[in-house]
Amino acid sequence: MKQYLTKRILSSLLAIIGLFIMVFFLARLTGDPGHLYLPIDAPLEVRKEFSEKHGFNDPIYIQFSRFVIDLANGDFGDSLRKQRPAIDVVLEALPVTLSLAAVSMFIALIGAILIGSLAAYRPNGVFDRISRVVSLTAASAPDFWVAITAILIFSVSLRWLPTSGIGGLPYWIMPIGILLIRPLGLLVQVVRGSMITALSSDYVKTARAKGVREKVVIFKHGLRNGLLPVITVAGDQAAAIANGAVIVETIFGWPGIGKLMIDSILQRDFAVVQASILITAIVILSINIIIDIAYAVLDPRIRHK
Amino acid sequence: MLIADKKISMPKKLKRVYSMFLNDKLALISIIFLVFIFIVAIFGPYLTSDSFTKMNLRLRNLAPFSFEHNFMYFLGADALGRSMIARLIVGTQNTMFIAGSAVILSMTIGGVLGLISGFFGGKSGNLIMRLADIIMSFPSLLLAVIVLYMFDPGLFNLVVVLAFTRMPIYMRTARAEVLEIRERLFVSAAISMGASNFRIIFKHIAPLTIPTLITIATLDFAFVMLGESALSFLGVGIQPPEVTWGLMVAQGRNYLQIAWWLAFFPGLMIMLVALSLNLLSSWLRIVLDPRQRWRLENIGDKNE
Repeated sequence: MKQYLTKRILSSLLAIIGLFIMVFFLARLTGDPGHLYLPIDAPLEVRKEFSEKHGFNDPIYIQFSRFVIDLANGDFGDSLRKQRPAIDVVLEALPVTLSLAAVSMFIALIGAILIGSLAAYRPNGVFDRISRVVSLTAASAPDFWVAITAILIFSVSLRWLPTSGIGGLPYWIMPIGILLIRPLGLLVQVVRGSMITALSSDYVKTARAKGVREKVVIFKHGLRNGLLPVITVAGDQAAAIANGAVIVETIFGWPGIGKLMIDSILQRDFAVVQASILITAIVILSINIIIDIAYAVLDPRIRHK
Repeated sequence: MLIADKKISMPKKLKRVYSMFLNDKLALISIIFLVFIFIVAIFGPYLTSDSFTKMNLRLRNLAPFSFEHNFMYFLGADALGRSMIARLIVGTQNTMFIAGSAVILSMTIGGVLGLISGFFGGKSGNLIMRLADIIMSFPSLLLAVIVLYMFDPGLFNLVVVLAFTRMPIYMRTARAEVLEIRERLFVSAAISMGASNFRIIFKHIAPLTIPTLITIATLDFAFVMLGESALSFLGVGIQPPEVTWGLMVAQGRNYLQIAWWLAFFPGLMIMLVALSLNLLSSWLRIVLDPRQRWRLENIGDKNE
């Protein structure tokens, strides 16, 4: 187990390093980094001075080693937009996205377990058919379109909810509701599939034959085993929910890392882009490692390997 | 002997698939809808010719569902008085073309990389899988935004970026399949007869992985389409005056309060196509999985 975890963490570190090398060289591939870092209308003298100051005229390997040394010291450069260390800007935005994502994922997971188990209880029954179409529709809905349709209905026509911004509970309802739609749709499918397998297995038949109550059979024997694949898929959804957060934060004006990244990209604040790439990657990979541990805790077959 | 058997059983098999189709009404409706969209994507733009850019300022933001003007204005008109139907049709072609090319590209490259990685294993195989991990560990949308921002957002770059972000799925699937197929007898036979690695991979192993890859591609088409529309929505996808459904939603967003149909219809199209693909692929998965196939066949027996 320990060995497995060490291996996982090492390969995650490798992935982060790979991602970072990729970003570094991609940024240089496009030509003068001044194009990326400076505003479009910056005059030529400013560009020259900028290149000189940041050493973009040096050979690429020297630039790269400097980049690595700065990183090792926790220095991502300063945000051009906010005139502050880029890493501070990113770490301020991170909690907003994390809370948004965590709440959405939690609700999606609980909802998926309930709906999926009910659907799996009678495969091809009425509830199963309805939940299949609804969950597939949810998985197919473009989130940005659902978001603006929801704004149209709940904010513009009914005036129930605020259109955008951050604040009390009413501000959370639409962003969370929209962010959880796609994971919910996908997870219902996964829960249904694995619960069907679990409920038709021998140990469930044995439990029923022993006369164990149906509730216990479903929630203790079935769900405990049926949940395992669900946890893995929920982990894969971490990256997907970050995608959703970009859209939701942009539309609802939330100051999270997704909006920060889009804004920094559009306003050429490349130091912030780099810092947010690294932080996002670290968060996603840590979530995946935590999920691996959870998997091992829940499944003794893996724990004892 | 084997070949003869195959010939006899072929029509029977087709008939079985056909009857399984009829038993899943949703899959049937989906395939009819998708064929319709496919035909529109190919021939539609010839019929509408240039009316998708033709402005008619008197019909600005014309409301949908009225027969007062000609049929092209049945779904209303946009802020410049351009027909919604014509724009939707041209958008169909662009959307389908981009998603289709990206899926084919990522399936081919991802599939080949997966085949190589699975067949040779070892260090190079692991390296390829690490590449898949890197791509998977990062939100594809952000990766695409960054790349499209560094290079120019255009048709070609858009397709390449979308293909790149979807590659890991094919790499992993192809690899997993090869690891199993590699151990089978006919591969050992080919090796012992002195076939080259190239021949074994592409002639003996690749054909067996194709059905699985295509099932994944069906589902992936929906995701790529959603990805493309999100990118166009964020303004780094296809650029005006070209039009895709995602871009239409983005443009319609500014007129949300006065003309809801501008954003509503293209988004609805995205959802319907994605839903049909989802239904079709879930049907495909059942048909291709012998353990689940009885679900569709049993209903058929009762009907007969």
